[in-house]
Amino acid sequence: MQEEREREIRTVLGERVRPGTVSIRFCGGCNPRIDRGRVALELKGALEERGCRVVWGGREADFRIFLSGCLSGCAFKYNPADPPCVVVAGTAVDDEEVGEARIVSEVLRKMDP
Amino acid sequence: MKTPEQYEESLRGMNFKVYLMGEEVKNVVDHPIIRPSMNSVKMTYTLAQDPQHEELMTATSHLTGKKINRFCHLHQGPEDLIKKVKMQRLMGRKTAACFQRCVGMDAVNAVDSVTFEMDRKLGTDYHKRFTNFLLKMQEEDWTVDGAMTDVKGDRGQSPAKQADPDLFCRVVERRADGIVVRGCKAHQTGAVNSHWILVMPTLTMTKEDADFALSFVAPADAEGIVYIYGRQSCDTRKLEGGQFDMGNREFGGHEAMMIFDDLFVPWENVFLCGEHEFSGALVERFAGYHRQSYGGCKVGVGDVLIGAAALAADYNGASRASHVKDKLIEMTHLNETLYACGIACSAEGHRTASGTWLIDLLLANVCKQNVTRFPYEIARLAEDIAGGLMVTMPSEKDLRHPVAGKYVEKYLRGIAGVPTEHRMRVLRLIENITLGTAAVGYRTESMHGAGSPQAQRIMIARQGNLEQKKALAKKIAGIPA
Repeated sequence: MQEEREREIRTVLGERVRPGTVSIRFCGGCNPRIDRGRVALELKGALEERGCRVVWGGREADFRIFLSGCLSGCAFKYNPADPPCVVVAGTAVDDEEVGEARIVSEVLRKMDP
Repeated sequence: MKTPEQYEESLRGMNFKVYLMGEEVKNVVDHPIIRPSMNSVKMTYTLAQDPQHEELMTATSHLTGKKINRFCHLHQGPEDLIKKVKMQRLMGRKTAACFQRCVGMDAVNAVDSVTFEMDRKLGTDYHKRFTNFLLKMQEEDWTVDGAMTDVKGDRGQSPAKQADPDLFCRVVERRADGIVVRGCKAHQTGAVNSHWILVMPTLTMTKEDADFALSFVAPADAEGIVYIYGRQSCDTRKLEGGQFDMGNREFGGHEAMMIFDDLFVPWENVFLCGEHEFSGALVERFAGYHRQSYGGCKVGVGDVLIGAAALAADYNGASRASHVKDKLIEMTHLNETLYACGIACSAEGHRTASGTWLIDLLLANVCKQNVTRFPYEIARLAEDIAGGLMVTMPSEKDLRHPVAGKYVEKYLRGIAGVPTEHRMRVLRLIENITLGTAAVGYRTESMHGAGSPQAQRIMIARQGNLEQKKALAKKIAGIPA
């Protein structure tokens, strides 16, 4: 499962993501349904490999990822922003259910310029 | 904001007068019985530095615009009230214990709106004094102990009619530069992990009780304050030096008696002194906020207890039994009902004249009324799933013993593949929350903390809008109004 996920991430990265500053903003994590820390670290690793700079919660960024632990989506709800951004809320990416294993690859796909 | 290390160091610099089991404690930070409770408060500083939790653990000060710890914040809208409950659930999950710092947060929110309204009506300057204190509290990231409950002596008599008037905190002298206070606050959660104390009256005072209508702040280690540390069930297990017999090695909570032995308080730190007609509002609002709090913190501890019960079922090989699954469902249902009440009273909050938001008092009291019951049922179900071994199991020292250990290891094994020690650890955790040191917070504090059950029933009766409900019934039944 892990290998498959990494392969998918690499495919997406190779094709699409442009370098720049990407911010990852968390919800508060009161009762998360996904492992936000793992997802964030996987995203960070993949994006840095592609030459992106990843910052935690910064407002000044070329692209923003809002990472919430459940469907309440507090990361975006309390800090709404204009595109370009992608909203992860539990196992949904931009309101579409993808399952925890596919969150990272889906986020990277959404970063397609 | 303070780092967790700075918080710990700041306590080391304080000069508390604390007695514990008949001895004066010189180093409260490293005392093995006290230390776990300090770790719980310290976690409020740790998580505030963590990007994964700062959305809940921090807020923007309405006074300075600076980022502050949410425990020092005045609620500026329903979002803040909701985030407070979520933060408390998070903290309960991280510590499985009472993390103590919410009492001060609830106290400053109550004192803010009441002093504002008092100044407007009476022309006093209490709110300005309070705001000056709050600014320093936010800047220094202080932990503040909210002190309300007096020892109360004869419950059938008012404060002024007690045989010993010191059984309610009171002003014994008014000077040009301040007041002298005598009395004792009971059950003071987190007292010796706090930088300051914020004292409030224990109940609605009448004119004859004006000397007992009192609110002020003082450094927690001020000359004239003496603490006598409260015992907890199984507390001396922390002195044994093992790894898991205490159930939760790292975290805990604490309460203490807080005695004012003619404590001097300068006027700039006094927020209520004799204005008895505002004592009721202060008590009601503080209690309301604190009844909301329990819809977060107890839920977080409940999450850990449900998880522990599920693990115990796994290790016992019972997790596929339908009655066990159903008990876990019931525990979850009860726990989330408490959370729903905490969120509901927050979402239905309203703005007060000072700009600080207050919870819906009816729903907050319903929340707390449920808290007086549901944790007991959750604990009962956890004990049911855990089995009797939770209270008959040998000690960790027996497990480590060269002779006895092999028997413990062999005969207390549950399913294959899970070490006996893991099974013992999870049973000790359940024991800790249901009848050990953490049961102080999870059970009896759920009953009496923020007011005993009858106090909520009085508020529910007052807020229940019964006449309007009668009118509804009359209309539907065709009875003339």
